Amino acid sequence: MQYDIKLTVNGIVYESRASASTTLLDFLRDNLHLTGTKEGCSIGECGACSVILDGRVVNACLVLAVEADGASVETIEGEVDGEKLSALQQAFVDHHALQCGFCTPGMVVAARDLLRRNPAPTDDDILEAIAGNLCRCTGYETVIAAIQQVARTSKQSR
Amino acid sequence: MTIPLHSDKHQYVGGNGPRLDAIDKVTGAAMYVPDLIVPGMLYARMKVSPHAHARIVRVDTTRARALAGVRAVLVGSELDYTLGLYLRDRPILARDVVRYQGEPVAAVAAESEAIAVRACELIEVEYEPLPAVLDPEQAVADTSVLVHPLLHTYQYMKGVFFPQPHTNVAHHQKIVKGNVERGFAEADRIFEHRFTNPPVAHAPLETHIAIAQALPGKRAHIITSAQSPFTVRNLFAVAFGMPHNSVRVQIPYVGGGFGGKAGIHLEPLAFCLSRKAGGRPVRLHASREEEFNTLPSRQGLKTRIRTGVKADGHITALEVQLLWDGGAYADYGVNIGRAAATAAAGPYEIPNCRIDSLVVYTHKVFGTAFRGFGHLEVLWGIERNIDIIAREIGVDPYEMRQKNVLRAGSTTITGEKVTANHGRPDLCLERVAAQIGYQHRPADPAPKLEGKLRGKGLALLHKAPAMPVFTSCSAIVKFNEDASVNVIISGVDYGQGTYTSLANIAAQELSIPLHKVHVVHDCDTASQPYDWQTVASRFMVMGGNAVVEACRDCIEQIKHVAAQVLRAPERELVCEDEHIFIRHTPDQRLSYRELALGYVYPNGNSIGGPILGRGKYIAQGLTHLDPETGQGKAALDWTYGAHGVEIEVDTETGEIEVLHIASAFDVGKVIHEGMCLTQVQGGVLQGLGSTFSEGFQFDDRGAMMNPSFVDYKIPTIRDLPRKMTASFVETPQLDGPYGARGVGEHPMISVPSAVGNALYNATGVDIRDLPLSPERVYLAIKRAKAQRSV
Amino acid sequence: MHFAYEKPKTLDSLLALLSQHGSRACLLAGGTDLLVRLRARTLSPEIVIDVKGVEPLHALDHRADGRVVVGAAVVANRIVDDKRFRPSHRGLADAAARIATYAIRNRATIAGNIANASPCADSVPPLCVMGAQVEVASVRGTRMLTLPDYIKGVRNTVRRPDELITFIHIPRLGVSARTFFRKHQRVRGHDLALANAALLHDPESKRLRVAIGSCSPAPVVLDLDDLFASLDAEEAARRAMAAISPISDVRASAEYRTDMTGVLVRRLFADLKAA
Repeated sequence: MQYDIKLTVNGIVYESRASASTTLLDFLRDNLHLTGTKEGCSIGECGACSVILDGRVVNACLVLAVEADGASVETIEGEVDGEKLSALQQAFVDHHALQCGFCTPGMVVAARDLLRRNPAPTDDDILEAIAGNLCRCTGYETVIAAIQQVARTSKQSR
Repeated sequence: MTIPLHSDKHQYVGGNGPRLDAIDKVTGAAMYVPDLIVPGMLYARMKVSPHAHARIVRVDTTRARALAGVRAVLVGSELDYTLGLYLRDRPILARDVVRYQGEPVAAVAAESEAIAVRACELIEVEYEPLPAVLDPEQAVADTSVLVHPLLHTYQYMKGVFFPQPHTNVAHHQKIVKGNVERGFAEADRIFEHRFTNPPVAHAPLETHIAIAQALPGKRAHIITSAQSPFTVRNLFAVAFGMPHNSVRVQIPYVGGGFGGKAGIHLEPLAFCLSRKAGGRPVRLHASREEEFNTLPSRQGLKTRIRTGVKADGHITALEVQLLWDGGAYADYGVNIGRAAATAAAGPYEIPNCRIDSLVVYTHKVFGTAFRGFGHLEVLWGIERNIDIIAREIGVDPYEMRQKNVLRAGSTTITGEKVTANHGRPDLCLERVAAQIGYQHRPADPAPKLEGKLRGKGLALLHKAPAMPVFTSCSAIVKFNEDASVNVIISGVDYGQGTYTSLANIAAQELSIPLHKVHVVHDCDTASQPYDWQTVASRFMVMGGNAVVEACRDCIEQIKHVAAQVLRAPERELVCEDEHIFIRHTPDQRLSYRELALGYVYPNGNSIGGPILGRGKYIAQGLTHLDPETGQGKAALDWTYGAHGVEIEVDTETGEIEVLHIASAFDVGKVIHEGMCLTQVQGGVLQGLGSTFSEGFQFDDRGAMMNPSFVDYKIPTIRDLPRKMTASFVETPQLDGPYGARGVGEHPMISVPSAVGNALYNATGVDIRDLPLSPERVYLAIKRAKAQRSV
Repeated sequence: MHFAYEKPKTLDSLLALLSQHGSRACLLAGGTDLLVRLRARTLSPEIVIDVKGVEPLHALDHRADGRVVVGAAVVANRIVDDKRFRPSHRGLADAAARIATYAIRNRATIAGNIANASPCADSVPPLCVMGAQVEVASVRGTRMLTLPDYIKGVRNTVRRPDELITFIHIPRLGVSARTFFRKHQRVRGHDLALANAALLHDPESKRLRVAIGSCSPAPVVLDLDDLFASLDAEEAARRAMAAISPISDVRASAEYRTDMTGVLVRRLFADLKAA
C-alpha cells in the first residue's frame, strides 16, 4: 500500500507517495530526485546519508519516509547561499576537505548541524559531530580545519 | 644574456589552488553512477553462494521468472564466458561449482529493486558442499583439494605469468640475484621470521555499480564506477568478441576506488542481463554487504624471511617466500605477486637475494588490486624484520637501515642500477627520524610492562608503478573561443586530485590563468584518447608528460599561425599570459583568443583553424623480467619514503595511541601542494586502518564473518593520530613532468610496520601479525609477562 | 517488505493496535535497530506501529522527589544534553553519549536500547546499578520490572506480543550517590562494546553495585555492599570476572572480554575515588 507523504525539503513543499518500507533516503533520491544525499551502507554506520530532520541531523537510511510526513528536511542541496557557496562549503573547498566527494554531502550536513547548535565548537565537539561520517579518502584533518575556520570566522563577525 | 621564456606570471606548478571538482562535490551536484537514471532502466540483484566450495547441483529459476516485473534471470550455465585480466579463470556467474562464499550464482533484472530482491529469494539453488581449502600454506602443501582443477587448460599471459598446473598455484614469481647460499655462508648470523597479513577491504564510500546496455548491432554501452575505462572496454571486447569501437564505456564521478575498481567487476553481468532483457539498460549496484563479501579484496599474505647479516648489520643474503592468499580467482592477484616480488627486499642493496612469490588459490573472496599493490603486505614483514634483527645483534635499527639502503650506484634485486635521480630513501628516513626525535637506546631486555609505555619506530618504503612494459597515456588539449582550454584525458580522478595537478601543469605550459583550464571530468572511451589504467601511482607521471606534450603541441600550432601573421620566425616568438609576441618587439603581439579557432585577417582571409594539441607518453625502456631470475627493468620510477612513529600503548588494554606519525616521500616535484599533502593524510589513515583494525575474518567453513561496517572497522575521525606531519623531498625524476613522481599509494605502505616497530621499541613485544588490534597487543603483552615470571 | 504503518496519537489506541496485531506487529521508536532488521529481512511484520505520535511518551521528567522518568520515545541525545541529571544519575547520561554516533543518538531511544536486549546495550548497565524499572503496558494493564527481570538473554525479553515499554523509572538515589559508566571497544571510533560496565556508590544506603554488559547473554549485576567500606577494586574485579560468561566471537575472545571486565571495574573504582 502507498502512503501520501508531504514534507518540506530545503524550504520547498513536496508531495509524493511511497510504500511504508521506503526509507527517507530512497524517498529523497528516487521520489524527489534529490540525489545529493548518498547511500553508503544502509545501516546507519557511515553517515553518507546525513540529512537534518526537524532540526536534528539523522541518517536518512534509518528513517522511514512515512515518518517524515509533515516534517522539515534539510539536505546538501539546501546548503548553498543562492548562487554562492555557503561559508562552510567554501571552507571545505579552501581546505581541500574532500577527495572523491562521496562522503562530502553527509559531512557538510553534519558540520552544518554542529555549527548551528554550537557556533564555537571545540575540537572534541567537532570529533563528536563528525565521528559518524566515514571518509576513506581524506584522513579527516582537512575536514577539521574547514570546520574550525568557519567557527573562527563566525566568532570574529560576532 | 639569457632571456626568460616565461615571466613570473602563471607559475602554477607547486601551487595550491582549489580542486577543479570541489564545487560539484561540495554542493551535491556531482553525479555518480547511482545518481543516474537511464530511461527504461531495470534494477538487478545477485544471488550469492553461502558455501566456500560446493558443486551446484540444481538451480531452479521458475518461481523467480514468474514474478511480475522480472525481465531477466541468469544463471552461470547460460554464460559461456571466462574473464581474467592475466589468467582467464573467472566465470561471470558460477558455473558447475562455487569457489567462495559470496560468489554470485544467479542474477535478476526487474522493474524495481524490491522485485529483484524478491526474485532472488525465489531462486532455488541446491548445493553439494565440498571440502574447502582456506589457507595458502595448506593450499600449496595439499593438492588433493584444487580450487581450479582445470588450471592447465586456461588461457593466460604467457611469458609473464606462470601458473602451476594441477596445483593451487596461480603464479610463481622468482627473483634471483647473486647467490643466496654464498651470502648466508658469509653471514655472521642468520635469522628466520614469519609474518602474516589478513585480507582487507577497500571500503570505498561508493560501492561498485554499473549500468550496462546491450545495444542493437552487437554493441555495448557501459556507465560504470571504475578506475580504468579502457580496461573495461578491452576486457569486454575480448570476452564478448566485439570490436573495440562497438563498446562504449563512460565513467562519471567515482566515489573512491583504491584499486578495487581498477579492473572489470559488475559490468559483464549487467551487460548479460541487459541482453537477456531485450536490450533494456540494467543497473547493478552492490549493496555494502556485497561490497565486502562478493567484490574482491586485498590479498592476504604469509611471509617467511630468512636473513643473513654481518655483526655490524650489513645484509649479506635475503631469502623471502611470499604466499599470497589469492582467493578463488587470479584477477590482479597474480600481478601483485609479480610486482611485489620485485620490491620484496625493501629499498635496500642486497647482494644475494632470492624471492619466491606464489599466488595461491583458496576458497575465499578473491584478491584484486589494492592501494600499494602488495607492498604494504610485504613491507610489514621486511621492515619488522629489520628491527627484530637489529635488536638481536645490538645495532640501531636506524643505522642498520642507513647501512643497507639503496643509494646512487646500488643495484636493485632485479638488476636495476640506481641513479642519482632515483630518489633519496636515506634522506626521507633521516627527516622522519629527526621529526619524531628518534634516538637509539639499547633495548631493555625485560621492560616493565605496566601502565602506559611510549616507543618510537621507523620504517622505509618504496614502490614503482606495477604496469605492463607498454603502458601509455595520451591527452588532448583543445582551445575554446575565449582562449580557455579543455584538457581531455581518460585517466580517472576518483578523488586523488590528479586533474587538479594536471591543470597546474597545463596552465603553466600554456601560460594562461589557472581558472581557464578545464579538465573534462567524465571519461568516455568513444571520444577520449587512450589511457592504460588509473592505478599504480603512474597517472601523475604519464598523464603529466602527455599533457605537457599536448600543451607544447598547442604552442607550436599557435606559433605557426602567429609567425605568418606577425611575419616573424617561430623561434623569435614568445608565448606568455595568453599572448604571443615577438621577443624583441613585444608590442607586436596577438592574443590566443585571436588564434584559438583560426585567425581572421582584416580582409577576411582566414588561416589556422582550431588549436588542438595532442600529447602522449609511453613508458620508456621497460623490459620483460627473466622468468627464472626476475632480472629486468620493470620500474618506470621509484618513489621512496619513510615513516617515523611515536606511540603510547596502554598495557592494561592493548590500546595504542599514535602520538605522532611523520612521513616523508621523495616525489621528485610537488605539482600541487594540497593534492600531494592530502594523498599522504588519507593514505596514512588508511594505513592505520590496516594497522589497528582491518582484516576479514572467516569461520572454519570459509564464510566471511564481518561483511559490514559493524564489524569491519575503518578509521573514523576519532581514530586520527594526535599529530600527523608530512614532508616531501624533491630529487627530480628526469623523465617525469617537472621532475615529478607519483605518491598515491606510498603513504599507506609502511605505516603498519612503523607502528609495529614502535610497539616493539616500547615493549619488546614482537608481533608479526596484523592487525595490531587491542586484543592482539594485550594478549601478546600478557603472554610476555607470564613468560618473564616463569 | 510489505507492511502497513500506523502512528497512533494516544496510548490507548497504540495499545489497542498492539493488542490487535500482537506478534505480527513491530514497534517503531528510533528505528535505528528496527530498520536494519527489516532490511535484512530478519523481521517481517504486517504492521509497524510508530510510538512517537503519543505525546506522553516523549516525557523526560526529573521529579521533585529525585526520581527520573524517561518516556519510551526519549532519544539518547536528550539524555546526554539534559543538564538536570545529578551526579547520582550521570552514569546513564555518560552511557547514552557512548551509543553509536551523534546522528544515531538523535533517533535511538533508551527504551529501544533496553527492548532490543542486545547484550552490548550501553544504557543497560547503568540502569541496572541504579535499580531502574521498566513500566510495561498493554490493554490488560501495566507491570513494573527491573532490568534483570525484563532481559532474559540475547534479544530475549519477557515482553509479551501485546506489550511495550512505556516508561523507564529510575529511583531516587542518595544525595551524594554517584554512578559511573565505562565501555571498551576495538577502536576509538564508534563501536559496539566488547565489554561495558557501570558502578553505583550510594553512601546514603551504603550500596555498592556493579553491572557488566556485553559479556553474558543478559546483564550481570553484582551487589558489592560488603565492599562499600573498603572499596576493594581488586576484589570487585575478581568477582566481576568470575560472574560473567563471555563468548568468543568475531569481535573478541572470551579471555579478552574477561580481562577487560576486570580493567573496567578497576577503572570505575578509580573514577569513584577521583570524584
